[in-house]
Amino acid sequence: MRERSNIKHYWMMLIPGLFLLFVFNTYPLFGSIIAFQNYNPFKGMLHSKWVGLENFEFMFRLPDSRQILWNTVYIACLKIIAGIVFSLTFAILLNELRLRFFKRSIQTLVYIPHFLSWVILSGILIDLFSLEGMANKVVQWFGFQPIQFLGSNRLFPFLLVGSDVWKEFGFGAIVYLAALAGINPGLYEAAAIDGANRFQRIRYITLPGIVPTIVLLVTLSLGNILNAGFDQIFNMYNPVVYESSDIIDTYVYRAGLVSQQYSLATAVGLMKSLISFFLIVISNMLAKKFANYRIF
Amino acid sequence: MRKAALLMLSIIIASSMAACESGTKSAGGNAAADGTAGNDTIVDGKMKDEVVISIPKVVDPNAKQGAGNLPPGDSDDNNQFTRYVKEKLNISFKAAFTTAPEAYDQKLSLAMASNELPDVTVVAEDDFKKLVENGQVEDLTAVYNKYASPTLKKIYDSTNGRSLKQATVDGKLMAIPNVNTMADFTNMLWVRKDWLDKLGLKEPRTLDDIITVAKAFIEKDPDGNGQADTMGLPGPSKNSPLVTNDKNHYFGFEQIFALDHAFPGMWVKNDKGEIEYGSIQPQAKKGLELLQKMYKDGVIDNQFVFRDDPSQFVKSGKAGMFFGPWWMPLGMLQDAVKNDPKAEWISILAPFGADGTYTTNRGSASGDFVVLKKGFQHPEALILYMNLYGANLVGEDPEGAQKLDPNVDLGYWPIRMTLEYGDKVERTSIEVQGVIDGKNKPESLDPVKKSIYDAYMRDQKNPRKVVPDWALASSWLASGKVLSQPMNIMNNEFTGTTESMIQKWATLSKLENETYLKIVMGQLDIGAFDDFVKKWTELGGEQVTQEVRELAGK
Repeated sequence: MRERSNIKHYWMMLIPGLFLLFVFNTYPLFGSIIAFQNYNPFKGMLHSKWVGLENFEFMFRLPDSRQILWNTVYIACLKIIAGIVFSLTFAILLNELRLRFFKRSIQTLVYIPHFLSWVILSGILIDLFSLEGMANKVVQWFGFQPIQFLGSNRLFPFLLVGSDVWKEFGFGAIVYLAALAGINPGLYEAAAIDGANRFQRIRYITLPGIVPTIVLLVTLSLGNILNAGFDQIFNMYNPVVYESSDIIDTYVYRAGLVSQQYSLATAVGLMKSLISFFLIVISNMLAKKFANYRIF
Repeated sequence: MRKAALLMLSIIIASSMAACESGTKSAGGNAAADGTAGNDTIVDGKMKDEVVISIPKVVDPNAKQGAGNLPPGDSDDNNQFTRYVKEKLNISFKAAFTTAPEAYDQKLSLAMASNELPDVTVVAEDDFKKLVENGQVEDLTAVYNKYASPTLKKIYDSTNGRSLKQATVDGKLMAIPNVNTMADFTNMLWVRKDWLDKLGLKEPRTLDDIITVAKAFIEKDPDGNGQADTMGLPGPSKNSPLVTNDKNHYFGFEQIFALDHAFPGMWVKNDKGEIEYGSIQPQAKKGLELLQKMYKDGVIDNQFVFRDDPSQFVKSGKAGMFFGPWWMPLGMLQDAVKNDPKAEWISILAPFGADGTYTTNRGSASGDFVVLKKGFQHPEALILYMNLYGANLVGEDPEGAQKLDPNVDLGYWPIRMTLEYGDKVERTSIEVQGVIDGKNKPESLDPVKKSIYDAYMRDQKNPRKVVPDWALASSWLASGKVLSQPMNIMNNEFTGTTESMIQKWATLSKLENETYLKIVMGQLDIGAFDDFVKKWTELGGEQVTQEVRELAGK
């Protein structure tokens, strides 16, 4: 009897969460129907004309769509791979440090950028990488011509990825550090007694020990593949590099809010959500298979 | 912050759902207001009962109290203008929403999308057309005909009826249009005379002169600090197009295109008399070629595409030459002169073409439209306000002239837009110059012109000592005089949006922007222009052109 009343309390505690979920996530979903309308704000959703899949057809006929989709996936993939490689390497290296104080301070220092907003960082980065910026001063020391980092479609995506890695790798390393802390120290002692050097210890103990975590993070990030980072790109790009850096989100912003094509923007956004949904389902399956971890 | 854009859209959608209901409600109360804008609501030229009008309120967080603006104690809501309007017309104002200037367009978009318009809104032409199409705004024909003052009508007559025509849909006047100051469209060349003198250069006249001056400004250390830190021509910021037909656009390169009679961003008549888009005409190619060369030679700031705010170079004395409209001294040049009192900025017409003429672009007669929300009970109140406002601006409101301090920024009028004669800058300059030359008495001037005259006299005694004085004299008087010179004028034949523009224009202008910038920066060969024209036409440009020709022919 007592147990049952306890359960009731737990159900009650769900209410605020469900309410928020409904207001901010479920209710706005109904708005997606404007993707199937020729939406007119003054007539509202109830009286706008239905056009079926016209907006989606138009979206696929847009000369920009292929490029935008490619940019999105390309930038996101680069970010995911580079992010994992750098965070992981950093975490392993940091783990090898034995000086506790030193370890802590480095860790704190590298994750500070995570807390700065792209609005601020983009200003700094644009100054750094402009023609007369620091990066080009260095380039010139080595006797090369200054490089248009911000105006080059070849280099700009790497600038985006590089700055994203710089901002996030410290924060990303936290998960790996936690996983590393979970490895039984006895294994290391045994390996040391067997005569394994540091690299062998990393290779045969550390890496296998955190493989589930790596797999989990990789598969989870699949669901995020269409989020290439609106804030960052929006603050850093310019018309010259639209070709290589315009992603779905920035396009939706420009088409939807700047050019007021609400229906088209919603169609694009809805498409993105659909693809993301499938990616999340797939990554959930993969995560279950490889790391025995499931979200739903 | 993922899906920030989607989130914004969701907000729009959610709020518009809510708005549906309120929309139908207010339409119901409409019948009472129709027709019977009764005689008894206006007594002695003022509203019998107080009318409260809600308007969008723009607050500039950078505005300084007191500095030539509002006297202490006054505010946006309560200042000499609002008090004057209340006293004379029994009309007061309340804010429907408050926004910073940069966010105004977005906020207005949201208000429109959620169907929560303030009673009175100043909107651009596209939005105006949309609002009319959706029956959101009040027909003003009857009240305008009944209550518009002779002065207001005279102002509209100065555009040969073009203004009112733009605001008329199916024979009904659906908004009170502004009257654009035509001088706002011309990008004059602003140069630092003190730098020219120091380097022994003449005022530039041709494009070659401009290039010579720019190179000298870059290489010969005009500010004398021993460092190579000065630039030639700053370009537009990264958020602003290279060239447009917008008024008040500065740092753009319209005048360089105009040399070859190219007008990108404008709908112009070609040799055959057909309307064509200026950005795809062959002449534009030449302008791009010139710009490409100038960029390569370093005459144009190599970083302009990445700059958030090129005006900092003017303000900090790192740039000594740029293109901008006549009123620049009232804007950023004040800061430039404050930072460096020796800076002597002058405006000239340049570059002149090979045939010795100066050509410039002109846009439409009106760009802002004051619309009244459908169902507003007292449409006549808006006309009364406009009568008073217009009379005041053109100097035909003696009572206001006496009561209102001309030093207070006109931006504090509650409903604000330019509403004066189309050539007001030139007119003012000639009139004030007449007094300076002793042809007329200072008393003959209306207060605004008088204040320009006074400012000029004070500035003559202590040049650039009081910066706002210098600004008034330099913009209204000096630039106005320069603008009175003869010039070729190219008119924009079409403003507004056609059916297929709604879908295609975003793509087309992205293509245009990208191609133009890349050509100028040398990333694309000039031959890419022909590909651009072909692509532009195929991607819907042709269809848009057809529609524009049809609509403009009407």
